[in-house]
Amino acid sequence: MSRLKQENDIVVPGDVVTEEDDVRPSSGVYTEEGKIYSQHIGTVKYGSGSVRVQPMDGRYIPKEGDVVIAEVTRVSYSRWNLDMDSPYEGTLDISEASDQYVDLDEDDLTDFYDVGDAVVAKVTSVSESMDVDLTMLDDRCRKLEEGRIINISPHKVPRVIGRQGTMVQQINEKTNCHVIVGQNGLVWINGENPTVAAEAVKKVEEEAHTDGLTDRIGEWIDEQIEERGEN
Amino acid sequence: MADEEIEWFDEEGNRVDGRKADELRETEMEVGVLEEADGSAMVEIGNTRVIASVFGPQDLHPKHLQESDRAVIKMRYNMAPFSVDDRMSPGPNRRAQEIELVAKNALKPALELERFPTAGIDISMEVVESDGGTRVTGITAASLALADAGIPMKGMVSACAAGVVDDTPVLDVNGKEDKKGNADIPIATINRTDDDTESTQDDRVTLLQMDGDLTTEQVDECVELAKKGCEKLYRQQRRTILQKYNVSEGDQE
Repeated sequence: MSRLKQENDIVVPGDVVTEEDDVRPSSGVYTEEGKIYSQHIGTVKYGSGSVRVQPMDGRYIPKEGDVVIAEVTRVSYSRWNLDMDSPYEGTLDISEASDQYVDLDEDDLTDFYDVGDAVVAKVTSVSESMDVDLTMLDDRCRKLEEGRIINISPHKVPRVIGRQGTMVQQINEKTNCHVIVGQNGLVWINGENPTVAAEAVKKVEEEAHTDGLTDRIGEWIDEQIEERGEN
Repeated sequence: MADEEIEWFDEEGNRVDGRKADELRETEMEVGVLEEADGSAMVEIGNTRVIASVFGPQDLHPKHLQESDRAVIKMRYNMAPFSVDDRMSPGPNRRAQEIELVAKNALKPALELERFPTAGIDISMEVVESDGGTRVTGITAASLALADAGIPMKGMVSACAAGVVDDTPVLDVNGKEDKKGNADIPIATINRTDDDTESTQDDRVTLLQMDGDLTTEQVDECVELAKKGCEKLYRQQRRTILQKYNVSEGDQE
């Protein structure tokens, strides 16, 4: 019984990752006849007693507890529909949008959020048929004014955030921006050097599978700001 | 038919385009050729060239097509008007419909569609140039595009045809051999690999068609030949993907 792929090896669908008995299959892999195969183009990650494949690409599939950036697409009598750049739409009920009493017949829901507004929301539940419920009643949730939103692969989000948020903190500090990374791959940027910050996020996404990224990105941002500052 | 006699093999046993009987045409593959698609790939086998794109999983409309427990594949096969020697009239036809169906069924067993209930996956195979074997080339390209889109798969699907000309089984029939030869058998297989050198096919054939007249022995020989071709194409699929991420096959242990 052998471990055929090492940590961070790149695999293709159908590649055997490991034949070890005591390794539990996690996400992105499947088991057949005692062997664990990859389902994705991605990198191999071993955890404590388990193995998973981190996909290179793919759409966002909502998960309970995720904080996402979403756009309001429809306002109905007592709720909003939100687009999370996913195959599945999110629903935000009025009870999850405000602590205060809202008289549905008197008050206009668009006073809270109107079509086209971007918000940070949290996924409270995902049903079997993929009905997704969202809430705004969380410290991190709010409406996004100003700024810009860019798009990255949802599977690169952990890398953009970095370990304990080191990567995003670094981008924040060096560019004097406020960057919010949604688990669904939408990134909101607002501040002094938004273009550099956006390009830095894109660069992290592109080079996500390489080593020593945090330092390299740091240097790159410094260079860029110096260059552009003089113009 | 007042057909002129075609010399299918020269004295050395080479075919009309100089290949050996068990040789594939020169094959080029590339993934991620389209910017806007979630996944895309181009496969060129000889003069046949197909671009495949994948959009999704995404919201599926009309709603009555949705399945509550899995994603639905919408397949499109289209030949460009300039893909053949005489202009091909554009638009869907019965041949395209058939190919869409068999290609969908060839790919489906490899996909983990239960992961995306109610969603839809759009796959499109655009034939830019045609010289025999467009359906198998389309399937090979679509499989690459699906993997590029990050859709979970049990393995890579590759497809290849073998035919009979002048009573001799040959691999990967070209346009001429397809039209004037006795018969051809397109095959698709799901491929997996144990390590970088050894590939296991598990005999999972997901497409097997035949047009023409063949003996039982010839069918067996063609199937064996086409499976070998599929395996070669699979290795190239793998190589192509790994190269995109700057890894050569030897780099990995």
